[in-house]
Amino acid sequence: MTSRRQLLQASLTLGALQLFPGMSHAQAKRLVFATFTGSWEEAHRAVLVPAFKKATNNAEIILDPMLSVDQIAKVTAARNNPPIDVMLHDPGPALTAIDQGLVENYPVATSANYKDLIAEAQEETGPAIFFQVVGLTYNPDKIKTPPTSWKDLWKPEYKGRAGITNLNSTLGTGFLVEIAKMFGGSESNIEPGFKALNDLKPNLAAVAANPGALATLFQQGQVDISPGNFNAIQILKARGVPVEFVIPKEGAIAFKTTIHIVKNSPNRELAVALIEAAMSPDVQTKLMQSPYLVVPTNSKVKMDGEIAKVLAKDQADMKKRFVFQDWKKINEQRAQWIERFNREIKL
Amino acid sequence: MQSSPEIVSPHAAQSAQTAPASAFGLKLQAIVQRYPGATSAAVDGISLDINAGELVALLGPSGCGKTTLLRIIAGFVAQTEGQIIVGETAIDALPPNKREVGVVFQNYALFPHMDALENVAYGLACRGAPKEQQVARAQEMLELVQMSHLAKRLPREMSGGQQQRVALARALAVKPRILLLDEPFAALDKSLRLDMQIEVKRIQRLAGITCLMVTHDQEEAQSMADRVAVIHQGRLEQYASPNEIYDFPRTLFVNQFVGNANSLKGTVASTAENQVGTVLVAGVSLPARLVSPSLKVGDSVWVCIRPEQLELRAATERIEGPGLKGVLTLSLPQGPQVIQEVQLGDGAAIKVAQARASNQTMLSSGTAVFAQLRDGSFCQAYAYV
Amino acid sequence: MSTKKSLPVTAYPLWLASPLALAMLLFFITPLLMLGVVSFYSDAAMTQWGSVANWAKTLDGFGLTVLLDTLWLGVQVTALSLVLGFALAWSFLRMPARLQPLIIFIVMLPLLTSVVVRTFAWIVILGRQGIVNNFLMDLGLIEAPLKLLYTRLGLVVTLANVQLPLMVLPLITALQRIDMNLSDASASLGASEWQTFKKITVPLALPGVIAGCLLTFSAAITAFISQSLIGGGQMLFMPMYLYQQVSALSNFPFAAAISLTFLATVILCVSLFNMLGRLSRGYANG
Repeated sequence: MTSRRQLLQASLTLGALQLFPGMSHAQAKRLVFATFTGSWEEAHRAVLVPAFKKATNNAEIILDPMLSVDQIAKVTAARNNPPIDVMLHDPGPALTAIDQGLVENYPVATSANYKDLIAEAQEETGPAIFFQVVGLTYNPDKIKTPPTSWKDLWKPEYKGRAGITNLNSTLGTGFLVEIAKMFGGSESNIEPGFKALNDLKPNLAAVAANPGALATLFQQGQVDISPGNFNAIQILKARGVPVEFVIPKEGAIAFKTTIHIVKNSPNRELAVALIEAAMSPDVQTKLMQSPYLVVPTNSKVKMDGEIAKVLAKDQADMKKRFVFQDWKKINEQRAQWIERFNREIKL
Repeated sequence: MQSSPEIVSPHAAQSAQTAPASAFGLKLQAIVQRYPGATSAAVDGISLDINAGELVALLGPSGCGKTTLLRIIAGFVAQTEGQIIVGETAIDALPPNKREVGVVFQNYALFPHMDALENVAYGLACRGAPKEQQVARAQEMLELVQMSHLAKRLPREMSGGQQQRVALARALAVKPRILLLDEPFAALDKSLRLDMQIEVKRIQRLAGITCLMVTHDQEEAQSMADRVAVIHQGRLEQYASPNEIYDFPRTLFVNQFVGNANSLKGTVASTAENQVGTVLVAGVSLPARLVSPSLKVGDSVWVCIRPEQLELRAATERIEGPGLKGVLTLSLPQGPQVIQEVQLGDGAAIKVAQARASNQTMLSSGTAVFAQLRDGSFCQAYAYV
Repeated sequence: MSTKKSLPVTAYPLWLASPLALAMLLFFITPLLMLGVVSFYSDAAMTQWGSVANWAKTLDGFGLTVLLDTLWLGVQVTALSLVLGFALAWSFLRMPARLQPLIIFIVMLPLLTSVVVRTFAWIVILGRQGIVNNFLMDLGLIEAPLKLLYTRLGLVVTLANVQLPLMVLPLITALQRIDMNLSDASASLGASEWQTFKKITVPLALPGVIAGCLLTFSAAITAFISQSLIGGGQMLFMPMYLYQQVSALSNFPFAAAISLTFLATVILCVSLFNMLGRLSRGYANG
């Protein structure tokens, strides 16, 4: 059974790649890192890659930015000779990759930087190298009093002006869990969350198909208030779109972005070197600064700049203001939630 | 079944002159058509008076404006100036579907998705006639054009001649006041053409309908029409019976276009009463009608001689009267006659038509010949321009 | 018989098609068959094979609703495209010949730009502060901006515009092939313009209408980008349903069942259109 399944999976999406060795990663000693697209790739190219090269005496590295689902598909298709050495994941896909046995535990015992990560970032299956933070986003031109709570979204004055995303995204799913909690539910009791979403309908101008579409809606003035990703909002702001980010008093939703060694990677040592560099206070400090504004996970990084101003003064403050969610529980139920969202949330 | 008033028995309509009272005349008054941007008018002040029941041919080379004129009458094109009167009524302001002018197109323009019967019934269907009446009338018309047996055929399953019959039946089914035929025989095989010409003439007589036919074929115009209007560069050159057009062409153009006239340069040698005189061509004096007004002795003229007005004699024969001297270069047998080409001394070539007779030995190429005007024939002289 | 062997000089041996056939087999048929096999796993991790649960789920009440709604969207878009496209093709054939290349260029232009760009243009047009709302507010016809983006109407209009070239080009071709004399003939027989249009032009343009509808319909129901950007996350059509299962849930078996169901439906619709097309082709050009 297993062999047939593997055969199928192997050829399902990328079997053809095996026919063309040049297209896949067959050679050793050239690390392939599947980062995220867009600004993440830019940040990693500018800061992480030089640090890695310095640490490894100029080893070759390739950044191959792609979505989590593509990373998993590519590795699944060639488990024994994976085309990727290091994966980067949001909490949901990370759990999928771990469950499917695609990743190797990180050698925490011999790691120099692992122990310095704050407790929430320490994951043996792959440490978190940054956090993504979701708070409230609003248009300061239209909304003069900054919102202070998630509950503000339900204010009658925002009728037809609020936006959310559907549950395809980590952001949308995290938001649903957060409002469930706010109204007395939890990861295992999502009911209050759906009820609250239904109540939010009159205020909703849009349910975006993805967070990127939400950004467009702000630009077009279609939406004036919504949950938003801190880093995405910084990019919009830099482009001159009138948006501001605030942490609601209930706390910001924080997602761990974890980095993983792919099982059977021929470049295990280089992969460890890359992850060490990504955890190092040096790299994280540089990434924290403008224009990258990546939220650090190493406790030795001194909070600074925009992040210190908007998110948290220091690690202690961070622990107070960030809310982490139980993605193991979320992942188990996400399919049901999505189905329910499909049926119930129609405008 | 009610009988249609237009369909009169062949005995009652022996000729166009005895047209039924229900037929309508057609008057064109100084029609001008200028297309924007064009330097000259496509139709330049044409006036025509067509009697009820008459078949008139608009004859001219392609691009002369005759088709434009037809489209103006049908209402597909609005004329720049002038008036069209059917019977007593001006129809200029009416759209094509209100004009009661039937059209048979050059390519017949049958509706490809309808069978013969549906095509013929179409006009009645558009008028909202009851279904039985449509079918009855369509069958009656198909019978008239002898197409009843092919009523269920689609146009693409019919020959050209059959399509034309259906097109004719379709146009006549709605009892138009005027019938327009646009080059109706141009798309037919030559062998079929004569049959269809006779057929159309027969049907036109039977229907007793006033009919205007556009053609570039002078033989067709001659054989079919009661009167022929020759059009050249948007102008009416001559409007008369086929015989008059042929025998007394009023302009050089008409002369050249109708019949294969030989045109030679000459001068007026003498003038007499009734525009008759003599002309000098290649040193030979020939009797001529001086068609252009006020020609004087010594004027340069184009002299037109029809091939059948000439006969050939071998130069060795003793001849009486004047003759053009030349060498026979080509013989083209054409059924009942032979066309002979003769090269004259000054380099000009003329055509001579000779009736074919079995007992006559033909002159061979290279023979020196005289081309003589037949007794009683006149050539035609037109002012040289 | 020696004559048996001689082929017409213009005939090509069939084996020349074999590279294409092989490529189709390898890159199209095989993955499709595998998709079929995958669809019978009962769980997302693909451990239990031999269950029709995914198929049952695809065609249960909700799945069927999504499928039918997607097809209905296709019908709406196709209908609007047809009306706009016919008007455009009709006037195209009646405008001065020197303008025609320009119009063709304008019609083709959307095909030369990315679907994403065209869709974003429509976001700008339909937004709260978009062109339509600003215009209506300037005229004083409305007080507050209308909600156009993220509505069914907005989506149908956008898709109709985005897919318009697919409708217009076959229509122009079909209308061009109709002998202009036919409408003249119809008029001279007493038909009004409307009668001519109904009884002559439309039946004869039918092959083009069907070709255009087929292209527009298939493009509209599969237009993932426009559907999600203009329709938003609360409208669920088959492409998004499929994407969701793969991207957010990694549920390949269910996604496979959805995609094959959708594929079968599209093929069914295409065959229906084709059948109509064959019937109507009899009309054109005698």
